[in-house]
Amino acid sequence: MNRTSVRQDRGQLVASVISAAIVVLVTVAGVTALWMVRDQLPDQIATHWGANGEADGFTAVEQIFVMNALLGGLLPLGVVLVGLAMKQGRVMGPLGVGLAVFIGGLSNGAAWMQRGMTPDEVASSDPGWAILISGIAGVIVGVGLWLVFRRRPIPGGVAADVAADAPRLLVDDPVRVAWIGHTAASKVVWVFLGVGIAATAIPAVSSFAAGSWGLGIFCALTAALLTVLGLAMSATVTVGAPGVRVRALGLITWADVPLRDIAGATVTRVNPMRDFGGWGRRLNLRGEHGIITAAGPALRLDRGHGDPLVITVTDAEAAAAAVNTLVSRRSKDHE
Amino acid sequence: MLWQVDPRDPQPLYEQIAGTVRRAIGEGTLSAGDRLPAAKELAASLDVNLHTVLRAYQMLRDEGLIELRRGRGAIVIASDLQMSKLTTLADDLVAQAQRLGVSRDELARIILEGEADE
Repeated sequence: MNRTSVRQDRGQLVASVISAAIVVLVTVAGVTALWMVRDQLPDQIATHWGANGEADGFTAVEQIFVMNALLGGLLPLGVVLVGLAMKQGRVMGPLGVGLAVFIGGLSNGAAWMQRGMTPDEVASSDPGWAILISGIAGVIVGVGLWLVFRRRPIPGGVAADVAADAPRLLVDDPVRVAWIGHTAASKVVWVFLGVGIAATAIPAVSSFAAGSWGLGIFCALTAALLTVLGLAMSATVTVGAPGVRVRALGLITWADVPLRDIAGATVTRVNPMRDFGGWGRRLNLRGEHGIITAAGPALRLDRGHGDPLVITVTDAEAAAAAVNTLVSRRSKDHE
Repeated sequence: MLWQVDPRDPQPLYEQIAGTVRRAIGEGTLSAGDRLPAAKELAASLDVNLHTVLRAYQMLRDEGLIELRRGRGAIVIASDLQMSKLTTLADDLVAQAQRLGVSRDELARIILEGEADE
């Protein structure tokens, strides 16, 4: 496949290393904060809660520190390392850090909340707020770090590289062209999302009913987020003089690639599970980014130094032809 | 859907854009309920003036082919597809005639004379 498209990018290596360091820092900081109040912690700390909100799993105070360190450090570090291997440190690094903040905040926060509690109070403790606050903090830190690590656009853009047999429109240069369509629709996506939304909306309702507001808000927000993501799967794909843009609901921009950053376009066929491991905004092991909404034809943008972007659209052939026509002209203008 | 405008064509750009929509409706590429791109988006993509696209949309609305709704944009409405096919044919005929140096008036005369022959 196109291993050449996963270009040399030291920035992703730097991002992975920095992210790994931050994960370690966050994990140590969280456990240290808990360690500082170890005298106030109950002998048995509630660490798992059942469906009815009652604590049903406990950890001895002697073991909570190691447990939280492992919980908060291992998975996030694993994510960062996978990112390093996939040469996607810019995205996976922040993901790992966000997870570390979430897990660390949750595990240490839920324990910290139980300082000075009697065994009865421990049994009826509620980690809901710890979950919500850690979740929000994790998202903020993860997204913030992602913005910091993002590639800066290459001044001057990339060289046009349209294959001789790639689709092209048979028009003269003065003719202005554009292609406007939609991402391919799929009912399968809604089935998965429906399950996800139900799986978060139902606990939200039962949490509120049980008076657990923190957890209830967390579940409700997650359900709302999944719903928005589901709706955002039907996006408008615009190919024109500015470049290629994929935007849903008028405000969620899945991708916005300037024309100067596109080397060429081809048509490909996508099997979401096999090629990208699922639907939505994806990243596969070959380093290809994808906006995958259904199985079938897709527009594949070669971004030169950047990773290829694959977008499932209904009329990929016409879209690719429009892209290549515009890209070919761009390079002529530079001569 | 593909959009094309040729600045060299004697037909004004807004006419070409409207013609593209009429053709699409006639061919079934666009059907009732389909939304046309936002005028700003189409103008930026084709690198033409926003008012060019707005004029095309207004023309199509006046012909009863689309409706312009605040917040919803331009939507193709259940229209007389036959009429739109006819309009498309007429556009092509006028374009052909112009390439031969025949004006609309002369073309109209030719058509009317044809009627007189029947």
